[in-house]
Amino acid sequence: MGCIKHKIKILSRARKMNEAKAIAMVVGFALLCCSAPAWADTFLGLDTPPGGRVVSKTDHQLEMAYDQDPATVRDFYEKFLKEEVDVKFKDRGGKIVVEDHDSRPWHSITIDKDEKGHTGLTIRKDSWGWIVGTLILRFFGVFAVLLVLYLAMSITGAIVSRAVKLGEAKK
Amino acid sequence: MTSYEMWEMLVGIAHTTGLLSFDWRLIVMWIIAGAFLYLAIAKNFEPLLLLPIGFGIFIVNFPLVPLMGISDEGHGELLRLFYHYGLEWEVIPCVIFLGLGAMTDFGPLIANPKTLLVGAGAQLGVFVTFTGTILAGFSLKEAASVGIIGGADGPTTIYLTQHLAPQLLGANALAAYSYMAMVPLIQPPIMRLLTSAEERTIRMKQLRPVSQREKILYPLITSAVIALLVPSVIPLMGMFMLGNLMKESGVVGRLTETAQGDLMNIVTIFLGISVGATMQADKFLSAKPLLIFSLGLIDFAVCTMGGILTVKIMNLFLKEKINPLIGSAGVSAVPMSARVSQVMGQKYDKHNHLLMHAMGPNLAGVIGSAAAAGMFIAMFN
Repeated sequence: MGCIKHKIKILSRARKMNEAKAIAMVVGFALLCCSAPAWADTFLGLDTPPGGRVVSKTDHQLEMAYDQDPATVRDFYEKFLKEEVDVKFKDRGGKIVVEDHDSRPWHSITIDKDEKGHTGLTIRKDSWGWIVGTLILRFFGVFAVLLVLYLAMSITGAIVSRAVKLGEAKK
Repeated sequence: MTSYEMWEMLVGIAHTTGLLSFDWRLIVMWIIAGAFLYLAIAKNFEPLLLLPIGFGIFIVNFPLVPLMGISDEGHGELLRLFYHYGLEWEVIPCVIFLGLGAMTDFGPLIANPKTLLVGAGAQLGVFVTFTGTILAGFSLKEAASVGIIGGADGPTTIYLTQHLAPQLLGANALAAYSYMAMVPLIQPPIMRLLTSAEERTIRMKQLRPVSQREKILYPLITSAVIALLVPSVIPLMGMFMLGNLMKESGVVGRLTETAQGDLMNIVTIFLGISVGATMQADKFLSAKPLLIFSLGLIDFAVCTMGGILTVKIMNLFLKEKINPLIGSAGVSAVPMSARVSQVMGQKYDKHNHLLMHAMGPNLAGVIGSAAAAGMFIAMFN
């Protein structure tokens, strides 16, 4: 009887060990899966493409250099950010600028090519420069729209008033 | 029937009533609805809008009411349909602008087009508040939709909010219409603060008469300028100018009458109830609406300041001075803010009639806030 009990104990311990191993394997696999998309570096919560060298790094700006061509780096971000509706890709004079129009910790990513043929990647944090700049421009934009309307109305007013006066004079 | 079956049936019936799904937040929403109904009925503050809005808030804040959800058959329930086709499709703000255009006389603005610049200056608060709203933790699109509240133009606020941050529609629309109703309370202290006694008594030359030809040309010119420079708001401004052209042409009296009367009334009902219906307790009761109301007030105040300061700057260059009291009318709120300028002017000089002069910046404010909205839409497109 005692022997049977001992065997059952051993068996249940072995089962527990197997269960523990299975759990450990699942957890390990899950950790592997989770760590797979983590790239070489992240900056302000944004993954950077693998294989780059850090040129300079502050709290607000990260500059990296890559041997790959700019299109590859762009492809990385296009794939990575394709779900983000507020992120815009713009081509500005040979530079690719990825701008965030929401409220992420990073504001823009600039991808360009230097004289040596290296691809440069600059991630900037501070969106305040952009916000204040665009707001001032747009405020003056409203003035410009109404100024154009003012000029158009003044000219039309002058022409119509003259035409009315001429018409009255003829009568 | 056994007593157990009877009990089960009673429990089943109780579950189909709203009694078992009651939530204390609904009572808070009833109080908010009650406040708006009180303002509309007892105080006569923008009753055409605040009454249906207040009732919309009240009626959607009952458990299990089939008003704003999707039915089992997969189609929208009553108020959701109004909201979907009226606001999500951006139809109602544009139709309201058609009616407003059919009611508006642009004569004072055509006679003194300089006042267009006052309408631009009065958009200062829109841009200042944008910055403040971001600091308060809103996203850029939300900040733009909150900023436009200061433009004091309900349809423009709804149009832009629906475009950029539909989740804020109820709070933004309510803030815009509430502050528009409170123009006579908000603006006078700012007007007194920014003007000297001498400035308040400036008398302006009587406006020249405007011919019908000019009035007919005006909507065409404005439509062309807006379509060229800020095309994103042409649905609003195009309808506004169509309404005005119908009125000024004088050849489509029946259409004009319909646009400014029955059509306007019909869409106002749908607008009010749809906006109110967006304010369900689970979506509305958070810190954001409170922040929107606070920021909206600052916005309104800064827009008023912007209009007055623009007149003061213009006066530095003008031979014939403009009374800075009309600057406050640069926020839209037609014609309430123009009336405030008139009342304030007459307090200091009983024979100074500023109403028609103030209508210029007032109408310019409508165009200015639409232009500002267009700038924001362009910013995110």
